[in-house]
Amino acid sequence: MRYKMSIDTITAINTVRLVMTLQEARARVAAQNIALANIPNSKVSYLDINTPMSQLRAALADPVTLVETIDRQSLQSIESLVSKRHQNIDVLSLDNEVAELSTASGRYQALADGLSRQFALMQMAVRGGK
Amino acid sequence: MSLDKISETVRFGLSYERMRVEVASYNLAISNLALKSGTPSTVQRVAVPSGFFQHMQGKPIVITESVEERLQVDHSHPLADEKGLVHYPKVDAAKEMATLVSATRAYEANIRAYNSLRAMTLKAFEIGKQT
Repeated sequence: MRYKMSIDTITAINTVRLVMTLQEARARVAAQNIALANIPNSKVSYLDINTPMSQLRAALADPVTLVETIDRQSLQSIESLVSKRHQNIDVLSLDNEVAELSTASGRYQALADGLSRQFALMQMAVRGGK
Repeated sequence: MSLDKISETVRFGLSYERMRVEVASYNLAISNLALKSGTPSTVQRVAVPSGFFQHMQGKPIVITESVEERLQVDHSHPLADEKGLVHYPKVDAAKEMATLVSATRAYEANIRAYNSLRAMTLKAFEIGKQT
């Protein structure tokens, strides 16, 4: 019999850590595209963040599947999610890349803040509410 | 992987764009500078070092490019030739101005990228910090 259980603290922290890694990679890819924006013959890099995020969302309903998905994605390297397009760099929109970078940076910082609060609660519980 | 050395890539982007601004300014500055007899007509361009795309490292380099001459009749000019023609490098002012604007915008975007990545790193250092 399979018991329905809620997501424990460690799984929640691991989920946040994984999404932070993805957001950091997203910011790095955008920063690289910005740095190479005007260099001839450079290639635009794309990070497929939708696939791992949709897998995480789909696994949220079941804690066991979520843990398995996090473990599988943690082992997967970020490189495998990055693809370089051989198209001309002229198609790159600098505004889009800056927006992408700002979004990723904001989400990363919000997640880091959430993680800090979670740790603060855990520390308070360890101290017995003091 | 190049993404691991992103700060170096951003720094390269900054120096590349700054050099483009300087080179475009230089080209505009010399556009009305008469050439001495026998001096080749050249402008400067910025290029990436060889092997840059493999390692995402290095410094941008300035190369010299030959351009056509622009001739102007001015018999009183001290550098005029025997026909009274003064030789100037043919600098495309519109192209140089476009380079100037696009390089300035890209430089600002690179600074923003650097600041955002730095803010992310500083925020990561605050995880678990006692307030």
